[in-house]
Amino acid sequence: MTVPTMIGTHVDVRDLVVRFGKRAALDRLDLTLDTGVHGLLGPNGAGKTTLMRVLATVATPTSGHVSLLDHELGDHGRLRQVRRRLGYLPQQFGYYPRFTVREFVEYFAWLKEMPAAQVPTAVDRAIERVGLLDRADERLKKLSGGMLRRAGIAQAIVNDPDLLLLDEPTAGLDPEQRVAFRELLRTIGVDACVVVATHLVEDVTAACTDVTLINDGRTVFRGTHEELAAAGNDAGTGDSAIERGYTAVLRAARQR
Amino acid sequence: MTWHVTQRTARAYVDGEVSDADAWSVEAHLVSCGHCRTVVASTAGDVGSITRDIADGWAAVSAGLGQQGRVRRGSRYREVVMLVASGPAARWAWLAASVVGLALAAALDTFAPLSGRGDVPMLGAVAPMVPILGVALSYGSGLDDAQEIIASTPGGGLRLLLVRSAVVLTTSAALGAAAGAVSGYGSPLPWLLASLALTVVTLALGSVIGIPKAAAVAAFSWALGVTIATFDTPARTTPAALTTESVPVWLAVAATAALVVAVRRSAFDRQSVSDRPQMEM
Repeated sequence: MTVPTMIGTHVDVRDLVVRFGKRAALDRLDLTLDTGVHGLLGPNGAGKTTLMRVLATVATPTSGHVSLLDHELGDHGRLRQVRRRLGYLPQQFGYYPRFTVREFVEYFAWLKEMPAAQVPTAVDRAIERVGLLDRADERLKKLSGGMLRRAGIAQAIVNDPDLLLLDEPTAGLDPEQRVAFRELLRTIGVDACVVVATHLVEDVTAACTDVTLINDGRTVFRGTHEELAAAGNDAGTGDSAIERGYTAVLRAARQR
Repeated sequence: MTWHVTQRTARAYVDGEVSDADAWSVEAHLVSCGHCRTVVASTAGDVGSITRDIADGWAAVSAGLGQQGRVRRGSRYREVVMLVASGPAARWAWLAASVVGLALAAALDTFAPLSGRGDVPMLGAVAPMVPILGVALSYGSGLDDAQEIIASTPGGGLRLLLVRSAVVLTTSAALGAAAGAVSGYGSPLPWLLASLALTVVTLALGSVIGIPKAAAVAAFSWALGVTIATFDTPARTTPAALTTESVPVWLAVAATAALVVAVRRSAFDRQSVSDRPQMEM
């Protein structure tokens, strides 16, 4: 869709806290995102997945303010409105092995309450965009890991979401598929807000308009990947400029 | 629309005998006017060479397309089919366990009936627990493979819960009725209504403590109630909950519980995922 479906802030998170028992997975995190492809980087256990789950309206924040697509998530009706315009690919997602790719994507099109007349076209379009149309009638249990991941991406984009959340989407994709996938991200990011949580810095360099680095449940860096690379000029270890920037920012954050 | 392409202009356009300027204005008009598209198309239908060109064009286009595959029309019916077809793999285990449980109960009723001053129907005692267990397995139990994605969708809350509960109830009712018919059980109405009421109570209670816990409470209370009613009195009598007199009571319970579910529907917005924190990797 080329008509912008919203004006305003796609993601507005302030003072977000999520606790599991005594441990705070997210500790007063702030984040504002608009259209574009946003990389979410951070070491294991930094809170990336928890943040993605809060943005996907799956996890409930312990405290703080979360507004998605210009809606507070308070009541039933608004939550529903937001969810209709959301796409989410969890890091690990279960599937029904007997479903075909087309049925799997169609199932989520129905759950996202799309108009009945649009469903078949939207389903095939989503499958086509991830390059799986030739396998559309194959059962999921027969697909390889990379193909499953692409089927997962197809269900996430089937409703042309305004907010697309992808947790480690390139895991299991081969280099060629990865290039095609980044191209798809750039296309979607023109008028939607795409958040990609990843630990692969080259994904960020290639496809993301900006990078947010989180560590210990807090935002420690926000900027373009050039700026992140520049942060590693004097300190930091790594093989590429952006890796040096990444380690330098993390080191500085830990010393604080 | 202020004007339409006349028959004569259409003819001239099809034969390629109008001026460029007229052709442009006809074409611009055709874009927005369905009526004139029909007129021009039917005029063109008389011309053999054009019909052939169109047929050849279609053949060329469709040759370049891949197999369409099994695309189903989008309809409400198809939506229900898809929501019913999905579900945790555990439902097959549930189905098998239900068939065995109901068959055993029916066999006991037939070959070794518990009776005193009245019949104590095992089938009636077991049957209402079947749907409760089914609802517990099908929603919020952590057994649904795709629950993480489902939890982020608008239809994954109460709507999916109701669809799955309806499927579970229908299946259990059919199984129970079949077992009852084979074993010569009397009117199935009391236990059918008890099943319905207890299932809706599970949903209502589930809006507060979550479906799996609610199901455990409902099933346990029912089992305890029936056992006490059966064995407490020296001369065994049919538990009141399974007699025809209980019918209005069960209807009232079901209606009240349904009301609670309707009022508390937003409680199911964030319930399809079990509360355990997800592993972070």
